Amino acid sequence: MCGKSNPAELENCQYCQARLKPLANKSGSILPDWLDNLRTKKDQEPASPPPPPEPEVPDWLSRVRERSQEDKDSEAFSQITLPDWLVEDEETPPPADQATPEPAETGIAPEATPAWLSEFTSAEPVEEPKPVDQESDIPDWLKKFSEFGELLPAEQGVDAPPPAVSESSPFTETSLPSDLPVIPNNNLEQPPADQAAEVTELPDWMLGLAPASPPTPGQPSEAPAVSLVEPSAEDEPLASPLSTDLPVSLENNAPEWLKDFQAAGAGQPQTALPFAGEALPPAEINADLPDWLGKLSAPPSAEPAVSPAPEEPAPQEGESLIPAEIPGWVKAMRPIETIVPVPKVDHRIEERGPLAGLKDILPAESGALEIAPPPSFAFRLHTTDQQRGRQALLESLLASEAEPKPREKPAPRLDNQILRWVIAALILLAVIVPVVANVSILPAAEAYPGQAAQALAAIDSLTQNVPVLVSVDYEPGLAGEMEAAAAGVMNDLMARGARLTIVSTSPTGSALAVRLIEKAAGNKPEPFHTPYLNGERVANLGYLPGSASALLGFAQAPQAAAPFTVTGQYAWSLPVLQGIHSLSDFGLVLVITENPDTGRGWVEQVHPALGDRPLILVSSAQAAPVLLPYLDSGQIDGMVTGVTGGAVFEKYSSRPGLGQAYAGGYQAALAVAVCVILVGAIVEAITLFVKSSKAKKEA
Amino acid sequence: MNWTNLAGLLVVLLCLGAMLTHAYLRRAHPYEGFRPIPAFSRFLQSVYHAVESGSRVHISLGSSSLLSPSNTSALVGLSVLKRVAQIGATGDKAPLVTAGESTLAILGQDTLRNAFREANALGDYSNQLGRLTGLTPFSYAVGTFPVFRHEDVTVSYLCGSFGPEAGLLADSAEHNAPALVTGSESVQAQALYYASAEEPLIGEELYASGAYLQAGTLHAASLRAEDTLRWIVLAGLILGSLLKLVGLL
Amino acid sequence: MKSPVSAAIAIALGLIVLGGYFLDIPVLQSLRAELVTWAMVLAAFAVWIGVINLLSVHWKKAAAHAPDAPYSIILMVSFALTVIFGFLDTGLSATPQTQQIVNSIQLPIQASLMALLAFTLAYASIRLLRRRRDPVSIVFLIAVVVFLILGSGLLPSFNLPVLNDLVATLNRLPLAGSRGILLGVALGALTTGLRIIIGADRPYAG
Repeated sequence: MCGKSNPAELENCQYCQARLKPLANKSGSILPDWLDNLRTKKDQEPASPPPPPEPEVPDWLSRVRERSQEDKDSEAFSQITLPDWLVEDEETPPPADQATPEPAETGIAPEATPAWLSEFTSAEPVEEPKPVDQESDIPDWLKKFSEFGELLPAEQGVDAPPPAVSESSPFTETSLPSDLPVIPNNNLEQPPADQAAEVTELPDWMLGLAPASPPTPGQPSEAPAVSLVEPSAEDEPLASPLSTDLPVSLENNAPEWLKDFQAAGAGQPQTALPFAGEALPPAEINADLPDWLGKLSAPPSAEPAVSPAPEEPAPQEGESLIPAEIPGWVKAMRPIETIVPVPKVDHRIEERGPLAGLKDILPAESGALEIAPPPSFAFRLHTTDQQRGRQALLESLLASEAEPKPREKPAPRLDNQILRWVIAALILLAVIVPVVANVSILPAAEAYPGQAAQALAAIDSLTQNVPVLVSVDYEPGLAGEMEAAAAGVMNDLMARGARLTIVSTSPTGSALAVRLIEKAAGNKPEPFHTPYLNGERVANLGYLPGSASALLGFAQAPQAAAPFTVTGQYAWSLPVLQGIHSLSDFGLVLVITENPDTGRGWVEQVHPALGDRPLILVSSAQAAPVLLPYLDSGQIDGMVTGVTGGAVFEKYSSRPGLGQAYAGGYQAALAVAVCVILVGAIVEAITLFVKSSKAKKEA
Repeated sequence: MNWTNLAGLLVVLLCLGAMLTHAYLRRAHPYEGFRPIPAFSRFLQSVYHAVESGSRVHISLGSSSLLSPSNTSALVGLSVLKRVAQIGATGDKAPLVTAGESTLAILGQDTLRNAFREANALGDYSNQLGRLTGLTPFSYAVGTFPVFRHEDVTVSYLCGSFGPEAGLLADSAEHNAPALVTGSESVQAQALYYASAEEPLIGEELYASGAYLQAGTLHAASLRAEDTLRWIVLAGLILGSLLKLVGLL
Repeated sequence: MKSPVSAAIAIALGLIVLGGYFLDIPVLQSLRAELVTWAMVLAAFAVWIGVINLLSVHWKKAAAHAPDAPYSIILMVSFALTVIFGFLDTGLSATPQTQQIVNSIQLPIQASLMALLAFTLAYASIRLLRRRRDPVSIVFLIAVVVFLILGSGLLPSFNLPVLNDLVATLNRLPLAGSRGILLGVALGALTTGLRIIIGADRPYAG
């Protein structure tokens, strides 16, 4: 800053106290110190086979190594020290999942980077660190993983039994090569043995996670956790059952490269393992450094991939690491230094932000393990313009298909509308004029053999004051025709002083019955009409819901089916219904209906309950063809059909009424209708003939 | 038990046996061998077209009570409704059913709901799709007119028991729905439909609806059983006429 | 209700009613009579359910300002008035409100609709040849004309014996045709009913 010269070894200017060397890294690299040290060593080494490095081995590890060197025979393995049990085990080929992939090539001992961590950092680009909830036994992200893929049950996260890694796992098969670079002590705060054991003894959940992101060939996704310690005596009996308890998930979920390795290793001795022969030179390691490892080491803030001991309360650097349960036998191997809590000091130098260059600051973000949501792989299709055009056409077609198009209703043709009005006017005139002029041409009685005459004969046989059951079962819309047909019969019954009991299977039947009585009485009622008009000789039982079923019930038990009148009185104690206990007690049953089904219902359901009592039907003209067979079979004792039938009945009963009044208009309207249809048909035929002729000529 | 009841029971059992026999014999190809009825083929085409074009199919069940003997035509209408709902449940506009009697309206709703449930489209079902439009035949007809006019109905099947209101219904449907198929057990309704409707079903053609719309194996079997019984009835009529002619009856 | 249960109930009740019709077994017949009574009660309740459905449809139409919303409002108001008058009605009194409603509103409206049917059918008969140009349509039109004339009673009034015999014969033709149609309909109804009874056709939640 001041521009004055300083000695090279000084870090701060002796004049202005300005920093002369960057804080980031002494070597100028963005790598951490320990990693930078490794690189520096690598650069300084010759290309020839590297000499065994001078590792800074922890004391406990040194002691272990010394004892191992003393115990083991160094003839077969000059560089690898294997315990006895492992040597014995070498004679049998390891299973596929015991295959040891290539070691991590960062200079870090492979066991320092757990396999599951390698997968996370390699397969999933770290975007945003997410703190791990250490309050719960199972982190949320882990739960999601387990829920997503059903890779492992959640309870296996921490409290699961020791993971099923057999003695043939990398932990038990290989020892640390003597020339393998060893993590310096100042950067690895935790003892490697403890860490290695933790990593090697992968819990089930880690094993289950492994196949979720299958590694690319050559990628040591399941980095071998090389044992840094010699197995103890306690370890040996545990190894065998572990191998037999290899979880199926591990076997099934093994990556392809691992399966291949299994196949190759099935017939090969242990020396075929990558770690059995020689250690890779550092230059070669650097050359094959995979991308994921580069990313792992690239961020200056990246912490060494070492998870803290699970016992340590919430270590800052390893927040995102998952504390796993360490088996008892591993804990027993742990050196005493690891048990004694050591005050942890973060010597990290902040690289970014306003605190750049300062030491011992609290990290603003979690370190090594940064969990991110699964990456979304975008597949960009390379399409041509023609394909894009077709795509747009298809999309437009689909869009138009999804929208319902409003249907265009054909506009009514003017000639049709005029024709309708003309027809209506003609028929109206035909109806009105004869009624006003009181003109009608009544048919002869011979035209209705057995119909009106039989009905009249049945009524004539009745005595005075006889109870008559009248069913008014027609709709208000047909009241015009039905009143004209039935008025004569009703008038005749009233003239004979019949006691009328009214019932209906139509909701409006009772009201229509009252109207029918009034219509039958006419504009000038006679004295015998009075008791009917004031209701003295009428019992209106009202509506029977249930159609034919109601008729059946009424036929079987009339007092139960219709106990009350429409006025709420108990009907069967009224004078009108004196002496009536069943339908056969009525002198006559008269059914007035326009519905052939209703008429059929009365014939089929009620007639058997009548005994020898007569049943007379008054029907509309349209229902007559269906009901006439019952007249022929004798189930009906008389029938009056339509306006014409009513007029004939009135003619022969000598009591003119609505039937005769309406007959003229009815006949005239039918005649006009016939003419209209004939004329229309002829015109239509001529039109068709002309059109076909024109078509033939044009053809 | 009198002879009439015994004969009736025998006819019922004979019909049941014929149905089951035909169902067994024709179990491989139950719908083959029927004569073509243009009304059904056009109806099916129109239903599919309505589903494609986003318009509505309308089924009318008539105004006959479920407790009356004429309810069988309405039951056929319910079978047709079920088949149509199976086809059109996932369409833009769900099928609509109208009735002039309460029990039929309830059954229509139930049939539609079942069809929607089977089509995994129960969320699209609404009780408004099964309507009682009137309690008397004419009010039922008048209440159905707005369905033709405002509900974007392109196909209508009037299948049930109708009276004179059939002519009004057919006239309104002809003006608003391009495709109209009608069927009724009522003779007067058949006559009205023949004059007014585009595709009327005459006689027992109505009861062939299930078989022609492939609503089920037993529908086809029952149609064949009807044919079998018809031949028996025909033989009985001829024999009876001969016996009457010779004076034995 | 589970579908097998409802189907089993329906089948059992159908068999009981059918058996009670044909078999002279007192238990069956009493059961049948009881079930018929239940059916009538259910039908009466179904009317209320149908009315609620009718009102809900028109309520939604009115609320949604549908094209025919004014008619829906008229229907609901008319329904309310009819119900009120029905409860106030005392039956065959001097001026029963229900009677007035039937006489003054319902009957004229429905009779007008019936009259419209006459015009509609006449117009449809004219258009029949335009819609279907086949021999059956021609026969149908001829039959319509003939039976309209016969039904009017104009021909028999001439009182000619030969003509009367001809008219009587012609009047038998619709009966024969109707019987033929009704026989087919009856067979169809029989098979349809059997399908329901054996549970092959279930127009209910089953």
